[in-house]
Amino acid sequence: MISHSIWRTVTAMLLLAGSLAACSKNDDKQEVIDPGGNTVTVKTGVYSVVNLVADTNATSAGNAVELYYSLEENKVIPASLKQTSKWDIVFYGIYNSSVYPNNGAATGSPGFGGPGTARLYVVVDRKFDAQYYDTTNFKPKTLPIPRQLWNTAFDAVKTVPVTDGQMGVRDAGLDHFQNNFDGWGYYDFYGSLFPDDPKKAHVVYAMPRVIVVKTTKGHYAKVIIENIYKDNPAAPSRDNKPGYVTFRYAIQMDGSKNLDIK
Amino acid sequence: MKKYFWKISLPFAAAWLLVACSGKNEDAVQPADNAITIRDLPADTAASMGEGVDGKTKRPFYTITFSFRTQQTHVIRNAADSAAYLKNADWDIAFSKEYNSFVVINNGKVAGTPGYGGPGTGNLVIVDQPFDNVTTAPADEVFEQQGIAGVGWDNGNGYGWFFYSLNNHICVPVRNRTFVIKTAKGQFAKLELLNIYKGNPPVVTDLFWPAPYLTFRYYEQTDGSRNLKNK
Repeated sequence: MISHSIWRTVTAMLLLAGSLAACSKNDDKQEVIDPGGNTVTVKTGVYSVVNLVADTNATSAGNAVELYYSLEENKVIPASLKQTSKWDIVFYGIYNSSVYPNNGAATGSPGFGGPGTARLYVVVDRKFDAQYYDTTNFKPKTLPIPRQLWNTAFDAVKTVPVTDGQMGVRDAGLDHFQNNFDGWGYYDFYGSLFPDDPKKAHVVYAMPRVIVVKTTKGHYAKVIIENIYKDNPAAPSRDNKPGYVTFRYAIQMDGSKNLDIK
Repeated sequence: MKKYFWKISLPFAAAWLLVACSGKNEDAVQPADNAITIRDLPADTAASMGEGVDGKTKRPFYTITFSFRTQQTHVIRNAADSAAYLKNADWDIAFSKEYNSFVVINNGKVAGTPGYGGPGTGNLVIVDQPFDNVTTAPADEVFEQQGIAGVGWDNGNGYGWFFYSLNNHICVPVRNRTFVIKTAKGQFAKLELLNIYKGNPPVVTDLFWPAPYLTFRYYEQTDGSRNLKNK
């Protein structure tokens, strides 16, 4: 328990440092050279990332400044390395809500055309979803969504449920928002869940859904996003600051598909 | 209710006239084009997402269905309309959700779509080619692996028919993208979505340009083959 909380603090600090570097694009000194060979990879385990600073100035007006993350190293990767295999997933799109794998074939991803071979897959269990979600019309029926469902969903994924070929290169994003794809969060674009409260329009609610990732090095991981608002509010509104991603992931470093990791 | 009915039905009457005339308006150019262009099909022009839009009411948009073969449209306002018009294979595409911009096929197995629970077996594959260049429908395996239920906003990932900036709130159709469709009854067709703004203007800068008026072009192969050559 102690190590867990230290991990969080250390991780958060590292991330903050990393993301500052990633954001200071205009700084001439910031010509990051890939040190190569010096990477320190994590051990098989569960890692929590809290208030990861993405694009805190993002608006709904366009794509946020992208945030690259290495699950293998548990750290932010600078944008200058976007066309390398150093990162596994990127938070991009509106409010950093599109999570793309680092794959050269991923249309729309900053890794498009690069050497990345990562893939991802959104795990969906409609029966589980029905506890909090209208699985026919695709909108939450219980808000806030009970927090313990994140633990249940995360623990329930004990292996990679699909073949590599069934894992995609497309982004995991907003659930059934102007498409028919299962995503990790519900976007109440027009505030229709709370029609009398203008502060509830353009709000993203994370859902307890696991994204299985095959990293660029071929390891399997599971990721669950808890929030994109600062300090992980249970009932986010326009008063909360977006661009602070909180997520948890488990990574299996032995090459197997075993994701039953505590 | 009555007021809505008239607001909706009048534009539809106009649509019928336009549709009826569209065949004759085509220039007699070479070679013959068997594709059909529908211009300014009024969708739910009486709804809006926000308050205070002149002549519009803030409410969810009514879904509009369209049949390739008969060009019949239906407005789905309520449960009775759903029961009467949705759970059959007589329509091929529906214009749904925000500003009727989400174009969806008729498939009884896809939850959250208008045809859910009905007999439709529709499917859709995106082909990044100009309309005229798409002359054959992809193989069944391609539909199985890449088939999607509908297309709307393209967030950059390539899965949509328009780009949309939330900055200026204007839809910009993606060019040279064709949607190959398996119709509700299993025929093959191709569709090009051209505009959501009245008059099909090449560029729109005015947020309040009349919308949604859908302009699109399609070709349905009715002999059961995959041949989609329209010229």
